[in-house]
Amino acid sequence: MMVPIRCFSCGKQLAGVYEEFKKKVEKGEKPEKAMDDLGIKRYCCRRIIFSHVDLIDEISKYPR
Amino acid sequence: MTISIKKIDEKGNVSRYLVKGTSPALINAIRRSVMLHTPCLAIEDVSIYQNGSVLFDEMLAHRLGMLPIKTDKTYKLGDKVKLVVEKEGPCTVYGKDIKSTDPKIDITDKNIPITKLSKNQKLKVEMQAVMMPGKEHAKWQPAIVSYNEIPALAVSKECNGCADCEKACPINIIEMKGKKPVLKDQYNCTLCGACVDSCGKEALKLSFNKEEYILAIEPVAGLSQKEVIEGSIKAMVEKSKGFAKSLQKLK
Repeated sequence: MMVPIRCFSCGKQLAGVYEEFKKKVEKGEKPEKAMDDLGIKRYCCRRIIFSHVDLIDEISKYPR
Repeated sequence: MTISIKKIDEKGNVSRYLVKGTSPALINAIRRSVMLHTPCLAIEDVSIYQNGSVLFDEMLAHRLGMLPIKTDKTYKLGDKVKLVVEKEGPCTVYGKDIKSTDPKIDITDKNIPITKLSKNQKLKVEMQAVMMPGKEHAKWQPAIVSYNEIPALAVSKECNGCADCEKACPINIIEMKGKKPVLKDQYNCTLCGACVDSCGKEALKLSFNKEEYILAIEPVAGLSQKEVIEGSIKAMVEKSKGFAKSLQKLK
């Protein structure tokens, strides 16, 4: 729903760079380069950022 | 045998050190001691007074628990600190919105999104962070630590200087010096072995020094690299002392 705060495997904090990553990719930068620049080096962390789908805005339309 | 440590480089949050005069067993003991026995702060108890966001209370508490908290040196095992967050939508609640009752304690990464609130939704949460070792839960790991071997390229007489290995290296750290390949940057070698495989004469071999290792430390809890290693060694010494004490009672 929201980007995981830490990497599932190694425990690195990732959520803090997610918004910057999203901005860079929307500007047309290659995801791999954006991740390198943000210091996401290991593939365990990269898959978390790369495969994340932010659904909270969709779900926010139907509050409890 | 004395163990020495020297800094190799620092990239962002990750520092790499060259440790000499050690063994895989010892350097792994340091790594495990950081992971399991070096305490740091993490949120353990969460009281939710109001949670209007679409995230369920359990998910919210889990996200808060994962947050990196700047740990102060003066804090000892079992010490507690209270944190509060109060927000009203529409907004995104970030790490920076969490207020601590102790000015020394803070959230290290201020840009972490915790939850999103839409109009008229309120969030009021009180949290308690506790000093604990990583043995209890991975959220109390103060750093991500790894170590690796340092390679050296052993070239035998069969080498004809064809430079195939230079071309094969994916990160271009092999250089032809005269007619022999040389490893330019042994600290950044990824140990992929492409050079060894590319050699038609089977003249290359990667050899490793059994007493030198690279120790990479990436702190996540606001402790410095030095404090992390110091903490791990202290934990190891205390454990050995306890063992020595019980050994004396042995008949």
